Formats: sequence, C-alpha cells, structure tokens
Amino acid sequence: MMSVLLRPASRATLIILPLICLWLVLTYSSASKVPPGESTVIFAFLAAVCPLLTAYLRVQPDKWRIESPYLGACAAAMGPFWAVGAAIAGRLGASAVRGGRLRWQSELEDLLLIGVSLSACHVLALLGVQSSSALSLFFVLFWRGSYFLLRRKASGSAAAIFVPAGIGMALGGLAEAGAGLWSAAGLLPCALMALSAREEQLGERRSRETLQALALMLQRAHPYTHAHIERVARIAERTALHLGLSTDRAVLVHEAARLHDIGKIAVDEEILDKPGSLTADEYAHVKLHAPFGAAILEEIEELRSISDWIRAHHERPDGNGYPRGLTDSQIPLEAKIIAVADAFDAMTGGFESNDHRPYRQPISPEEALAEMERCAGTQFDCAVVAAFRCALREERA
Amino acid sequence: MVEPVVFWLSLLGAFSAGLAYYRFVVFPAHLDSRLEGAIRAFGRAVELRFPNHAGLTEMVVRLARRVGTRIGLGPKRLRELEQAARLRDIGLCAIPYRLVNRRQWNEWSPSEAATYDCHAEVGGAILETIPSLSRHSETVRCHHAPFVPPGSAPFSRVPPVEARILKACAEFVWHSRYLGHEAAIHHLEQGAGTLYDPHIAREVLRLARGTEGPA
Repeated sequence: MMSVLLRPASRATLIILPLICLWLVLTYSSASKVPPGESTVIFAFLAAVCPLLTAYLRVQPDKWRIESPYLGACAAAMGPFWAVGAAIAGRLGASAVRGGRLRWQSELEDLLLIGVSLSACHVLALLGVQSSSALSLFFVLFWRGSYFLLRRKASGSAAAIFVPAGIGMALGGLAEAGAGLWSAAGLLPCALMALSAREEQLGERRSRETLQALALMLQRAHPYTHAHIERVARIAERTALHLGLSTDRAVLVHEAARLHDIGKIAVDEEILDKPGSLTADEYAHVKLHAPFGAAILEEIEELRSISDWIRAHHERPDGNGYPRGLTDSQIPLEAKIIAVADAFDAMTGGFESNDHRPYRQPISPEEALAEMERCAGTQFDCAVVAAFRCALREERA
Repeated sequence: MVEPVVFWLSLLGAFSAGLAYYRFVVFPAHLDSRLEGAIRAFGRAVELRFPNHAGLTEMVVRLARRVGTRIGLGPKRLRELEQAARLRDIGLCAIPYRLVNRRQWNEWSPSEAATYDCHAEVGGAILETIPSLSRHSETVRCHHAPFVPPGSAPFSRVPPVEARILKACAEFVWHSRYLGHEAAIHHLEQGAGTLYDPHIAREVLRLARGTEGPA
C-alpha cells in the first residue's frame, strides 16, 4: 500500500494523507508526554527553522532533511502533535523563502512518512521504551530509512540516514538530561549538513554538465545522433525501472544511454553516413566506437562503471557481438538494456522524427518490436525485450 | 563518570567535526578530481579522433605551466592555465575527420585551413554552455588569435594572458613536432611582437634553449 501511496503520480495520496494526519493528531495528541516548556519548545522551534536554512541555501531537501534530528527530539520529548505541527510549519516557511513554491505532492508524501514514523515511534513507546534519545534515534532512522527504501535510492543514503539519526539521538539525550536549551548547539551540525548537501548538488550539477558537454561534442561531430541519444536514454531508463533496478541505477542507465555512442567522436563521419554497405575495413573502424567510448569515460572516476556498459553495448547473448564476443552471463544487464533501446531507435528513429540514417530506411515500431522478439535470446536478452515492450507501451500511454 | 549533558554535547561536537571535515576537506578535493577527470575525458576524446595529436596536450600543459610560473602567475591561475591547456582543442570534434587524419596540414587549401582554425571558436562556444568550465571559453576562443599590443587598436580585444601563453606554447610544440626544434625556435623569434606576445615568446625561447635562468 505504501508503495502505491508514494508513487509520484498517485492521486490517492492527496486524499488519504490529510485523513491519516488528522487521525494521527487526534489519536496521539493526548499522548504528548510533557506540556511544552522552555527547554523542549526549542525542538519544535528549530525543527521549523531548519527547512528555512535549506530553502535559503537553495538545497533540494529530498535527500538531506536537516530538520530530522530536531523533529526526532521533538517527537520523543513532546509528542507527535508537536512534531507534525513543526514539520508543517517548516515546510510552509521554506515555501515562503522559495517564493511561494511548494512541491505539494512530495511534501505531502514526506508528511505521510513522518506520520507513519511517529506511529512506529508510539508503538515503541507503548512497548516500554521511554528514553528520548532512543525514541529520537528510532524516529529518524525509520523516517529517513523508509524514504530511501521506498524511493529505491541508494547513493549516499547511509550517511543521509545515520548522521541525522546520530544527531537526533544526541538531542534526545540532552532533552532527557533536562538541558534542552543546549540543543541549539545541534544547529552547527545541521548547518554543516545543509552545506554538504549544497556541495553534493554542485558536484551532481558538474557531472551533469560534463555529460552534457560530451554529448554536445558528439553532436558537433555527428549532428544526427542528438535526437537518437535522447530517445534511447529516455526509453532505456524506463526499461531499467521495469526490470526492477533502483531509481539511482535507472538514472545511471539514462546517463550511459546518452553517452553510448560517445566513441563515435573518433569515427570518420563519412563512413558513418555512408549510404549502402560498408567494406570490412570500414566496418572494423565503426566497431571501434564501443571501446573508444569506454576509453573516454574511463577518465572520469564516477563514470567508470558506465564505461563497461558502453564497451559492451554491442555484445550479443549468443557471443556474436563485438568488441569482445562476450556471452549472455558476461554482458552487464545495463548494456543489454542500452542495446535493445539503441536497436529499436535505430530501426524506427526516422519514422517519427525524420532524422533517419542514410544507410537504413526506418520501419514501424510494431515491425521493429516483432523483429526484436524474433532476435530475443540470440541478439537481445529475452527479459530485457519483454521489459522494453512494457516500457514502450507506458511511454506511449 | 561523564555528565550526560557533556556526553551528548561531545557527541554533537564529534558529528560537527566529521561533517566539517567532509564539507571543507573531502568534498572540495572530490569536486576537483571530478573536474580534472572530465577535462581529461575531453582531451582523450580529441586524441582518439585525431591520433596524430596524441601527446601534444601533455607537452603544451608542461610548457605552459613553466612559462606561467616564470611570468609570475599564482598557483590558482596556473591551475586554471593547465585546465585551459587541456581544453583548448575541444572544438576539434567539429573538424572533419579526413581533413586531419588523411591529409598533411601543409597540403591544406586556404579554405581547409580556415575550417581547421574554426576549432578555437567552436571550443569556446562549447565551453560557454558548461557553467563550471565557461570561465575558460574566452581563453580557448583566443588561443590562436594573433597578438594585439595593449592600446594599439582601440576596438580590438586583447586576448587574456592565458590565451597568449597557450598560443605561444601550443604553436611552438606543434612546430617542434612537425618542423623540428630549430625551425620552431626560428618561427617563434620571427613572430614575437606580431603573432606572439613578445614577453611570453621570450620566456618560451629561454626555456626552449635551456637558458632560462632564475624565474
């Protein structure tokens, strides 16, 4: 049910979420442990202030929720009513800092997760756990852990879960020791988390720019490839998701698919654009684009995993592919996905967008799918072809 | 026995220290290495397209760095100069494969030479679209532009010093490889003050002759 509710396009979330929040507030407000005093009200205040900091620094808060330690301490020391109130206040404040832009769907989904984490926390309290530090730790681990689990995001998730959880535990401990006011010291690590998140975003932006620049170089060398690689990238990512790969992995497949022909920078454009069949020498020259592409991407540390996929994107399960003649189990799944998406677009590319290749007349998507199913098991992986068919149907819907 | 407040505050301090180390030490180094990797990838792409350019970039980088040091560029500008040296030929991806790989450069017609010369402009245009590298676009665009003495023509742009260094170094390395060391020195001497910044040309000549003396 959770995965249905959290699916980005789910409209059910918008109806069910407020009801769950209302239920939570009504059920648990009586469970608030202590009336808010000066030593504990600071948790709610700072939990509401932290999102303003992320908004001010223009950090996308999805991965690093820097308010999570304070929300954890607030939930543990003051109860769920205050935690939900602080979370809502923080989001509204952040949206005001961003100029009124509130990403309703993702914010509501996140509030739903907070509600569920609070329920889990309450169950733990009913089981006899009374320590604020333990409850705070549990809350943050549950909330952030379930976020990464449901979004199937893997990259950097451990740090983004355990660091706020540890800080939350310390804040809960301070509340327990009756030194809630000292918890303002927690702002320092929270601010550092926000700054780290901003740096991470900068790094990701630079990576994207690098990929964009490489794609632009290829486009300069071979103009027709641009639309092709964009289409291949889109459908390859969708196919990866259908095959059960994580969101991060699917995004990586998208990037790899955008760069799968990068080695063509080093291929003679007159041979690539030659109408008619190629001589053996010319074909051998064209085949070099796979290892060339891998050699270019190997220079970039975070793209080394991609380089293997690029090298293998013309390998075939029956071992008749190139450059190394790998067989089924030796070919990375991601390379098989790119191979299918690439072949489909090469067969149909010009059919819709009139940028077909000079050496091949386009065929209809139905004919291309039939051809790919005929070649499943020899040229293409059977499971990938099946997932590709679903992805294509979804893309057209 | 440690007071609970002290213990929890120490834990917060430890988290702060770890995060500060990550933010101010680990991450900047990681970003730098990412950028260097990207720049190397661009260079690799050009060298794969035009194998006869293999090794030229590294020679230009080394020479430009030595010249930059001698004319007093600081460490940060030297790093920028190195990056620009590696990126300077990124526009070669737009030059026809056969023009460079199947023909000798001294057989080119004027129009073919003009096509080749476009690579600086194309490289500058590509870099302009990449925010993290756009600061190099002017240097790359001007790295084959002839020397314009400051103040000589009121409306002409004076290429940045990095571009003047790259022009002298890249063309010296190119001529050394294809015409020989002595001919390259002669070409640089002849062009100093017209094609090349005389101050920079003098430093390149000193390094080329091994008479550089103290920087």
